[in-house]
Order: sequence, then structure tokens, then C-alpha cells
Amino acid sequence: MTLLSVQDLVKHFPVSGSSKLVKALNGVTFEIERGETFSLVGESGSGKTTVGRAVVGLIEATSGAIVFDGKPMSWKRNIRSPELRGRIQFVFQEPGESFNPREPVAAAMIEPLKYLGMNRSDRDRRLAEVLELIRMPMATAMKLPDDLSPGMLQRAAVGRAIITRPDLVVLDEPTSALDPTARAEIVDLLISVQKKMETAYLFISHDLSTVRFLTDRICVMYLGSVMETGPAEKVFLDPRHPYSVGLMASVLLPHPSLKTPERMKLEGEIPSPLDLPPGCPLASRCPLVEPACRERMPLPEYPQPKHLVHCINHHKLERADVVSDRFETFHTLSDRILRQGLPERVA
Amino acid sequence: MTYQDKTDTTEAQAVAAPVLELEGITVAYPRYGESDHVALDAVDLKIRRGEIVGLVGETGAGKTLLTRTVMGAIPGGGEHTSGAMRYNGTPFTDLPDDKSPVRPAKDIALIVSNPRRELNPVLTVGQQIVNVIRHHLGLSEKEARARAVDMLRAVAIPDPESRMDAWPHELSGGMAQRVVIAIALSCDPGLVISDDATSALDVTVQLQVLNLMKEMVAGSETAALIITRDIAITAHYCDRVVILYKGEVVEEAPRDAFFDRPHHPYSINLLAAFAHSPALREAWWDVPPLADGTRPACRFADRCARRQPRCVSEAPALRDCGAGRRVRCHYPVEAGT
Repeated sequence: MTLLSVQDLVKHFPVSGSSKLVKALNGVTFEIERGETFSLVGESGSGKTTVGRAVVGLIEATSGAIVFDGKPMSWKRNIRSPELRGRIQFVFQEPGESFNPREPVAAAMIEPLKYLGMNRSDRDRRLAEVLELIRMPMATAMKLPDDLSPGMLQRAAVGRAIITRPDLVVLDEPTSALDPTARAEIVDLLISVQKKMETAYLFISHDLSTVRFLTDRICVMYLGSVMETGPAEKVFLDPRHPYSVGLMASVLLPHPSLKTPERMKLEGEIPSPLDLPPGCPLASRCPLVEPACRERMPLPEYPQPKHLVHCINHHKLERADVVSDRFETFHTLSDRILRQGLPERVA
Repeated sequence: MTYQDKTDTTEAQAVAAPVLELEGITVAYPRYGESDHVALDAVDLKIRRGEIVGLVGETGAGKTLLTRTVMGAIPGGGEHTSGAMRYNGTPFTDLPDDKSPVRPAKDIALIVSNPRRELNPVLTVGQQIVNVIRHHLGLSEKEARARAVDMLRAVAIPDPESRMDAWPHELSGGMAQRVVIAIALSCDPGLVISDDATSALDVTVQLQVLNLMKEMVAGSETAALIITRDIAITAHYCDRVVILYKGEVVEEAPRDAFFDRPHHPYSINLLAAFAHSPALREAWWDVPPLADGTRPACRFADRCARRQPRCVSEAPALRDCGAGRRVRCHYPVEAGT
């Protein structure tokens, strides 16, 4: 069942002192099912954060619709209306900046419940439940944000988001400010929370190796447009958009034998979203570019069921012979390394 | 031993000497009414000519403090209490001193993680490169400018002549990082230190910048020290890997050997962050806490899955285990264990 549907979302920001527009989103469409994890990936400037902010109503879209739970969001029906309050939550990138430095994190965590009109004893009971779920001792939760490590603080931010038992949590780069170990802990936490609470996640990230094992479906964005959407295994195994191929080829994996493939290396950088030319936004960097690409945005095509690509040359990228992607290979390898010298009490 | 003999040996030593040699570097922060906080504890590091060494650690491991110590700019009241630093065999202590035999930017160049903050916003890109070249190499304005254009071309900046007159705010993050690399390499330094230089960049740009650094280092026999918290970078761009934990080197090994069989439990913990299997990860990470108030002798004991009583009572020494590997652990993961 569809929980959230984003339809042809457009957001243009005016530039002060000129008539130019920053075209942050140019017609973004996707759907999120109940209880699934949907990831938006792309380089900085691709518009993924803008989508997340529009979904929770922090910015107003220029045009297009956001339909939550069957009914469109509008100025009358927004995240603050009694009907929707607490059903969509947000986790920010910088844990240190999303907590009041003068109150214990537990106070910040129960704050969403006050706006649901919950009484004190229920609030305390709910807090205890959530602390158990995020595996944080009460004593830690009573500390000030400055006394917690960034990883612990992000754990509390996840707790604050799920305390209202939301249907959807929007996570905007929740792991990119953290060390790799803290990052993996947050990912494990998100997976275990989802198993227990059946919350849907809109996971916004540029970190593909995190996304690969967290997400059910993935959407690759570039300069405010969707390039490719599909089930995670399919997109990672057989990406059909030159940009997805290039993006995945740029990810470094921690083993010398897993070299980055030479296929579809993306040269240059993402162009400015000011006054974009018509046609495919990738045309300036794409190795497969044709004159037709510069004329208009390619129409959506479905190389496989549920796998959508905006590229006229997607068939050239088909790779029927591959059985596992680089990420999968790494995980087999890392399992072998981690089994070496595993302490006996668990082995 | 005659005088002649003595000079011969020192010359031979100078030729074979590593580009940078750190021996027992200790930096401590005094604390009121308590013992000093030792932020770097007897760190040894050798970087040879043409070699790229990766230094990996989490936040607070002392990675940046180590670069700052080498560059002579220890932040916030820290004291370099002991240890020796040598550049091509020449001892140095305090880099900013004009009389120091080793000069920053000329001999040891530093690339930091925020390129925009490092560039002067009120000077054009070209002027900033020219200033560095003229100061260190004593070239004329014209010669320095020609060299600066060559440098911009070498770091793959399109249309370098016109980019010379660009202002830093007109550059994208990746472009600004290239300019900083061009400045760092413009005087043929013997050593380039990259302190998390690519962490703020997008993956596609990060790859371009790392490839560029690797090519430049390979082409000029410069040595490089890549400091990062992302162990994946070291797997592809370094010859040797050094792991730092709470101010101590816990493991050092040639790259391929390290990634095939990391010896120190902390190195395995770092790799586990990238693994998919949550069960294996938990096996390494979920460690029963130490009894309250225990201060283990091994700094990693409280997070170590292979902890034994000896780890709490006796601090492990950094010991040699052959084939260029060193590990600081009583019970390292070795063949057959």
C-alpha cells in the first residue's frame, strides 16, 4: 500500500537581485510503500535534501503534489495539523545542532509527545520503551548533548523521531557526519527499529555503501531530476543509467582487490542548477551523449518491471552476465576476514 | 674512527634516510589538578621517498594533532614533551622559525579538508600560487606566473590561463581542492600531507582528486602521508597503513598484508564498520563493559572483543612481527588463531 506519493514535484528558488532561478527540482516523481526503506542518492546539488524538506513541509513546492496516506498535503493539511502530527518525523544530518544544548537529551526526546497531548506518565512510559529500543541507558539520556558522542547523540535523534510511532521518518544524511563505526551502529539501529515498528524510511544519502544494505528501493537523482528508480538489488547489480553506473563505480571499498571499475568514469563536476539547458541534465558529462539528449529530457522507460530509467541508451548498459556486484563481493570477503580470530565466547 | 669515516657514514645515512621520520612523538595537555592528558603517546612513523602512507583513526585519535605537531602548530596549549622529528635525516623541531632547516610549504606541504577556508578570499587564485612560488623559489613574477599556469594545468583545471584570475568563491569545492593541491605541490615539496583532504567532496570528485594526488606523487618522487578516517581510501591509494587509536599507533603493515589479515582487534573493528553481517559485527563490537572505575592498561581494552585479564593489568608494547608489520596487542589475530 502506498504511504507517500510525490508527483511531479518542482521547486525553483529565486535568486535575489536577479531574475534567474535555481532549478532545484524539475519534476520528481516516486512512491513509498508502507514499511519500506526508500533511498534518494546523488551528489551534492542533486536536490535530494530539497525533496526531503518538501515532504515534511519545511519548504513549499513550486508545483506538483505530495500525497500522504491517500490525501494530498496542502497548507491546510500539513505536518502540524492534528490529523498528521507525529506521523512524519525527521532526523537531521548534524546531531549536535539538532539538540538544545541546555536540556538533557531525554527532554528533547519526549518533546514531540507533548504536542500529541499525551500526559506525563504515558510520556515517561513511552520514553522508557524507546530507550530500550535504541539501547540507551536512562542515565545517558539524562545527560546534556555536549556530554554525548556524536554517534550516541544521533542514536537519541533516531529515538526522538520514532517516539511518536510515525508512519514515515525522513532521514537526511543521518550518518555522514559520523565515524565509520558509529555510522554502522546507526544503520544497525535503523534496521532493528524498522523490524519492530514497521516504519517507512525516506533515506537521503550520498553514501552508496551504506545505502546498499539498508534500502529496499533506490532512486538516483541528478540536478533535480530522477535518473533511475528501482529495487536496490537490481539497480546495484545492473544499473541502466550512465550516471548510476558512474556513481557506483566511484565508491571505494576497503579491500585492495576491489578496484574501482573503469566503466563510465564521470569526468568533471555537477554543473550549476542556474538556468539549466533543456534536455538530459547529464548531457555535459555523459560518455554516451547523442544530439537527441540535448533536446529534451528522455521519457521514462522500463527495462525490467518496476525498474525505471530516464535514458535513451539504457540498453547499451545492460549486463546480463553479472551475478554479483562489487558490494556483494566485498561482503563475502569481509565475512571471511571478520571470522579470523573471532573471540571464542561467540564463535 | 677517523674524521673521514664519520662523514662518509653520515652521507650514506642521509641518502637512505626516510623523507620524514618521527620517533617517539609525545604531545601532552596539562590539566589542572590531574595528570597530563597524553594526546599522542610515543608515535613512531617513517615515510620513505616515493611512498604513500595512510594514517587511519577515528575522531579524537590524534590524526590532526600529529600533522599540527609536524607543522609546528600544536593547538590549544599542548606541549610537545618528547620525541624527535627528522626530515631527510635533518632534525627539526619548530617549523615556523625562519632559521629552521625545514620550511612548511617548501619541504612539507599540507592539504586540509576545507579548501575554501584555506584560500584567501580577497586574492585571485593565480596570485596565491604566484606568492608561494616567489617566496620559496625566488622566481620573477613572470616566471612564477608561468609555473603557476603549469601547475593548474597539471591538476586538470580546464582553461588554466583564465582560471588564474578567478576568485576563490567562483570555484566549486572540487576545483578549490585542486587549486590547494596545486599550491601544495608548486614548490616540489619532499612530503605532502593530506589531512582528510577529500572527506568534504562528492564520491566522483573524491576519486578524481585522489587519482590526481597519486599521479603527482608518482611522477615527482614526492612522498605522501594520507590521513583519513575512511579506511577504504587507504586500500587503494597507500603502500602502507598505520592505525592510530587514542594517540597510539596500534598497527602498522604493508597494505595488501594488512587488508588480508589485520592483526589488531581495533583494525578488525574498523573493517567491520563496512561489513554487511550485523551478527559478525556485533560479535566484535558488543563487548561486556569493564568493572566500574577500572582503568585498563591497554587503551583499547574496554572495546576489545579479545580482551583477557592481562590486557587490564599490563600495557602492550608495539612489537615487531616481521615482514614490516608491527602490532600493539598481547593477543593479536595471527595465522591459525
